[in-house]
Formats: sequence, C-alpha cells, structure tokens
Amino acid sequence: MNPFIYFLLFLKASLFSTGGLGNLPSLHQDLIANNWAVEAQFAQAIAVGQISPGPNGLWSVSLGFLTYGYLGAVLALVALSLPPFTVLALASVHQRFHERPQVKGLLRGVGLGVVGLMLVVSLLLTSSESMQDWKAWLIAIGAFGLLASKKVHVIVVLLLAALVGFLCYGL
Amino acid sequence: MSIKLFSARHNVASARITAPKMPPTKVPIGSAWQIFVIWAIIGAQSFGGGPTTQLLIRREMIEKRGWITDQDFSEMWTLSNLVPGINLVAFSLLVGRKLCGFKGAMACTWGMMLPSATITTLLTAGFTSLQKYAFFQAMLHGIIPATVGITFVFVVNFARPYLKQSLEEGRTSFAINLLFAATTALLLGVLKMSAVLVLILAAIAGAILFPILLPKAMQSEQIVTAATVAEQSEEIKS
Repeated sequence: MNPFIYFLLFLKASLFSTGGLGNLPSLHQDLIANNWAVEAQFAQAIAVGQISPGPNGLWSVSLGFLTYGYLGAVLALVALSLPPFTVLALASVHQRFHERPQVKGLLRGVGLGVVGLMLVVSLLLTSSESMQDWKAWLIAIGAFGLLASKKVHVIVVLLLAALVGFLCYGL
Repeated sequence: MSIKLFSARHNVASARITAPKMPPTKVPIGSAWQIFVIWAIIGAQSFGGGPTTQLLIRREMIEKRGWITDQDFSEMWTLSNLVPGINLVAFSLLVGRKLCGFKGAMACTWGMMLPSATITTLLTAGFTSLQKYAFFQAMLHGIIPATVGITFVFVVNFARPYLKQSLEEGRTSFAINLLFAATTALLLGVLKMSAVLVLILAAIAGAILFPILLPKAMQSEQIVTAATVAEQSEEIKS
C-alpha cells in the first residue's frame, strides 16, 4: 500500500462528492480494485460510523483504520477535512452566481448523479457474502423499514440487528 | 473578528425583507481555545450524525450564547451544502470564521472532528479485536445486512427532495430527472466508469442540459440541495 496514493484516493472521493456517504461509490471502486479493502470492511465501517458520535462522514475514518491501521485513520481524517475548505472561497462568490441557470443545472446534475451512484453501490453491497440467506435479507428489509419510518433511532436498529444476528447465527 | 462576509450579506437581506432583529450576544465570544472546547463537547455528544449535531450547535451557538443568529445559521448551512465533502465541516468552518477568523474556523472544525474521530477509531479497534469471538461474528452477521438497509435509506432520503421537486415541475421534468439519475447509475454499474468521472460528466451535462430542457425550473428553483431538505425534514421529526 502506498500511503500517498491511499491518501489521494480518499481525498479524490471526498472532493467529488457531498454529504456523509457520498464518497462511498468512489472509495468502494478504488479500494476494491487495488485489493486494499474487502466488501465486508465497508459494511463494518458504515456500521461504526453510524454508532459513533460526530458527522456520519467519519465512517471513512473507520474504513481507514480497518484497511490501514492508525495511519489509515489519520490519512482518512485529513483527506476528509480538506474539501469543505472550499466553502470559505464559495462564501465570497456565491452571492454573484447562484441565480444562474447553469449553476442550478450543475447542482441538480451532481445531486442526481450521487443518487444514481449510491443506488449502484447499495445494490453491490447486497451481493456481499453475508447477504447469502433469507434471514440476512429479512434483517436488511427490517432495518430499512424501521429507519424509513423515522420512529426508531439508528443505534437501536443496529442493536436489534446485532441481537437478531446472535439469535440466528450464534446459538 | 472577521464578519465582513456575513455582515455584507445581512445588509442585502435586511434591505430586501424587514430589518432582522440582532439579539445581542448573551455571552462575550470566547478565545479560540474556549471555542475548541465547546465544539469538542458538541462533537463528542452528537450521536446519530447530522441532525443531532445541528441541534446541538443551534443550542450552544444561538440559544445559549447568542454568538450567531438564526439567519446566520440558515445562510451558512445552505452554503455548506454546496461544497464537496462533509457538510458539517464546511458549516463549522463558516461559524468559526465568523466567531474569530481563521483561528476560530480551525477551533470549531478540529474541535468537532478530533474527539469524534478518535472515538470512531477506538470503536473500530474494539470491533476488530472482538472479531475472533464466535458470538461477535454472529452479531456481525446481523449488523452487516442492517447496514445494507441503512444505505438504502440514505439513497431514498437523498433522492426524495429531487423527485419531489421534479414532480412539482411537471411530468416531463420528473421523467428527465429520473432518466438522468438512471444514466449515471448505468455508467457506473454497467459501463464500469470511474465514479468521479461519472460525477464530473453529471455536473457538465447538468449545467448544459437542464437550462435547455427545463428552463423554467432553472429560473425559479430555490437553492435547496437534497441534503438540506433531508436534514430539515429529519430535524422536524426529532
């Protein structure tokens, strides 16, 4: 593993995406292509990112640790923190350009692009090895339903999933 | 204190609407170190990601101390949604810069990120060391499918405001937007194009196509990105 390339992959993923999980498609593609990560590590990192405090985007720090130890976590954190600095420049020009149709079109295009990419990655995650039996699918659908209802906190959902996993596979 | 950016924006806003009441700061603005500590506490407390963090920031910065106004908050949040990366980091940079210049920006951002990133790393380490136990493997077998469910919720939450807005713009717009998103999915999923390249293409195509195909929508549309709407709707619920 080359720490510099590793850092650049994280930086690139975050520079060309927005929101907490927006960098997932790019990281998924690059790290798996380089054999620097396996499918299960993404799922674990997303789970930890949901449990731990702070922005959801910190899931990448967890992925950094899983794939490259403490150095990976630090590299991921730095890579993750740099792209938002563009807001300082944007704040000064925003007022002048935000009414332009091209700018609105660009933002709409990127937003829809993120939707499309996230959909593909979510579908890829369903082919991971732990989604092989019907129980796993029931858990996934149940978690989706509980969260989509917005009545249950994500940590509760993950605890329930852990309990169901223990009951289904651990006994 | 560097307030030139937002004071200028305030003047524009106050000329347009009515003069906003500027509540006096209840507590004098602290040193960069104090700001760092306040944001470290916010970061370490904010379980559940974005909406919780926003709520805590609102409480600490507006309600308790009066260091920023409601309007600052909304303007800064909208801007934060227009830049790449974690929106909350961009937001903390703007709040910090308003409080005490570049030092303040650093204090807010690293205050929010360092403790929570440390906790995340330690949790992951705990996770890894537990992996040799059979009971934990079994629990993981339950957790991993759940994260698949979670990512689908993310997709739906992210897509919803776009679908809603395009439906309001009419059926043609809805079809165009759907087709656009589906094309990006095909480029990544079937043609195996690089994710970043797809997003760059989507940005260029969006800037050229949408003003031509949906001229009306691109004239009147509010600058509200998916994340803003999703966060707001979640905030109302919580």
